[in-house]
Amino acid sequence: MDKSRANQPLDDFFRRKLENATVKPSADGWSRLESKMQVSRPLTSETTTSRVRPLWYWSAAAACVLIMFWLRPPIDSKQPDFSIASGRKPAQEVPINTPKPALDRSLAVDKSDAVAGIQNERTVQQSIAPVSESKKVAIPKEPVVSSDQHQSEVVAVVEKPVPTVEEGRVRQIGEKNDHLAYSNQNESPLPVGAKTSETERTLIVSVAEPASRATLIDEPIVETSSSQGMGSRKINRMFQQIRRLKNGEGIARANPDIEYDEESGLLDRLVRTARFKDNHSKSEKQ
Amino acid sequence: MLRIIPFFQSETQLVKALQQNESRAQKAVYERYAGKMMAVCTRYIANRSDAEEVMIDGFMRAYERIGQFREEGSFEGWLRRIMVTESLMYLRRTKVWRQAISLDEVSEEPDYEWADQALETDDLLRLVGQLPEGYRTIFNLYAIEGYSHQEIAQELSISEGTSKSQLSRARAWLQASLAKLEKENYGQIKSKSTIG
Repeated sequence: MDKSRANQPLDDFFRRKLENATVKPSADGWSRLESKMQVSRPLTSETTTSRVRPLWYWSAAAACVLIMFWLRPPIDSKQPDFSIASGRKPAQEVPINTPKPALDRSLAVDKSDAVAGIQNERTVQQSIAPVSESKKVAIPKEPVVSSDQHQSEVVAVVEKPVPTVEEGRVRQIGEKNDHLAYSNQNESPLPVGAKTSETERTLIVSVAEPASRATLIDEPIVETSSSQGMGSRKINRMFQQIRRLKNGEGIARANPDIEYDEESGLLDRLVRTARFKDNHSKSEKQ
Repeated sequence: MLRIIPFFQSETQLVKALQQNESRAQKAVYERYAGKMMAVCTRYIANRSDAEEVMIDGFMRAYERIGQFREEGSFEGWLRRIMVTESLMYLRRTKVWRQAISLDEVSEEPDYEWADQALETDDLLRLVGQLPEGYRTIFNLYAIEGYSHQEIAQELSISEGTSKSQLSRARAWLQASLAKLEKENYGQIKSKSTIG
């Protein structure tokens, strides 16, 4: 503070008295200010943002959900084939000379068996794995099948075992190849007609399939369904599944050896699968 | 949807709400500071209605420029500076700057102790309001707002010498006015005591 300012009692007096003085404005001061502001800004941004903000929140949330559905990685590799679960047959999987759809399952079991033959024989009790079944969600598949399924079944061929085992085993492998041919007609090393009797044998072998193996075998099939690339179908399946879960149904993996009704839900499948296992174990004991 | 009515307890909350253009915050600011800002404007502009118009313009300017407030000083100080600037702009527009007053007599120093007790804010504002605009402005800027002569010269586009001379004239006039008031007051007291 300079000298002239320091020695001025008049300035101090007025500063002290007027610095924090208040003068009451007129009563309509705020309304005048408000009207002036409305003239200068017809629509305040607060009103618009407060109205628009909830819409933005909801739309952003909806977009996030949709993106999550679409960008979901193919984690359904352990999920069973929906077409089998629903008991429906996909169009391209049912060629003219093919046996009933249960054979498709035997094919998968064959593959695993072949792989198991390279390693070790497994016990019969492990054939149908309840643990892995409980984890899976069977969703009925749409009857419409696109050509993408062929590609996914080719993926199943990747697990083709090396045919360097004993003769009986080789036959199974050959039979498996038949089934692969049945699934993917581009690869058919053996004639289709020879597979009917061997299929029954294969079915027996498939009983010895361990649970983990069965799970592995399911992967290509599931890949088939998940790699459809048809987003709308996927969503439809999901909604169907959600609807059934909402109705209180349990979760059961579909067993291809069991005939399911078109409308049978998951609980029904669970019961049928359990019965099937029970009967199967009894017959084996006998 | 349930909306929580905010209570702007702290200045920071108030400023944040202002920055989001909330009309409630604007009203809260007006209600909280209108009296003080009206006093600021009245110090510069003697006419009350004109001062109120300037104050309203000042509030509008503050709401528009709230994004420029950096929270380095107090919000009230920032608002006060806006009011001062608005008042100066008004005075420039009305071109009532360089009115001179004649100081016929230089009075002796008034009794500030008496003035402090006897004079109310309104009396002092009336007294300041009687100063010509030029003197009044410089006195307000220098004595109350704390501007230096250099700042005043820049603000009013005058020389520092003019600022100093006008300030000394304003002081002299105020001293004389206070002394006059004091005398009148003592005269009234004396006459009352003689009657009694």
